[in-house]
Amino acid sequence: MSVELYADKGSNLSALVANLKLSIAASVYQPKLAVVVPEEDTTAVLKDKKSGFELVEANAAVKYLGSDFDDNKTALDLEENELYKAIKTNSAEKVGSVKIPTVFTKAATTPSQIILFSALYPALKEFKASDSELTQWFSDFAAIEKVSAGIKHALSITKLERAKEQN
Amino acid sequence: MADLISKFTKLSLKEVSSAKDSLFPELSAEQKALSSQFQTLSTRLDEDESLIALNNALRTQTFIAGNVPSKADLVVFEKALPVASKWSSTDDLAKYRHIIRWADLIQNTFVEVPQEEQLKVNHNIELPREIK
Repeated sequence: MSVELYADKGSNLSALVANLKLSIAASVYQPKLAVVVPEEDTTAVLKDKKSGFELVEANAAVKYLGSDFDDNKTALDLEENELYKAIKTNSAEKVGSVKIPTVFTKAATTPSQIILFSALYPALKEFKASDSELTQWFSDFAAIEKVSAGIKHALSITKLERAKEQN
Repeated sequence: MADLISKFTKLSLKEVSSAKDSLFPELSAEQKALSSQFQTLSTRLDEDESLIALNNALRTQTFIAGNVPSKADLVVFEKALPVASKWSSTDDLAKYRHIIRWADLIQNTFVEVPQEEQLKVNHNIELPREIK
């Protein structure tokens, strides 16, 4: 595969979430493929150097790598609408305030689980598995070996700005 | 392709969201990815980068998924029509010229848009040369 994956060089939650999606998807579906921080400015997140095919949106890249484009529409709609807006505010608190129904009962490395997990990461990373069904699924998903390798890689390539302290 | 377009019975705007994928040719993995990408970005047309990504893609391809029409053309068109209808300045018309060309194609081939809601395209307007 002549595909390359490019990290978001930003320092906000949007960049972290995008880098988590790509890094976990790469770790799960294409272990030989690493997400790299591009030297030049680019809007592409996935590029096939041979064919010139490119994608600029991380969810489409995850689905393409997983060869599955509509495995859970409820989860994808939730992520692409309400969670997306909350992530854009760059506030983990806002992400945590979005009501999430029980979409998944069993952790599995499907594109929709990778996408939803990544979007919830800023809000749920500190919670205990026993807090709710959602945090149990989140914790089980994070414990999958290839997922944890993807998270580690995403954190290593994302320079998050420190949250401003509130008085 | 010409056969598909000539035989296609236009759908109303209301029918767009329930249109079946089977109305269109089978898509490759790359075409499915483009289709998925632009359906996602069509929910964010209030962001300039989404419009720029769509316009850039349509610079080199006829339809959303490449050179074959798909349901994504209808879905994205439904979201883009009210946005594109507000463009009147030469700057906007030039900046998003490929979206306008594509939207005009979709309303002339696949979607029946009431006269008063149609995108009005001035083919005589002089736009500055495109900087790629």
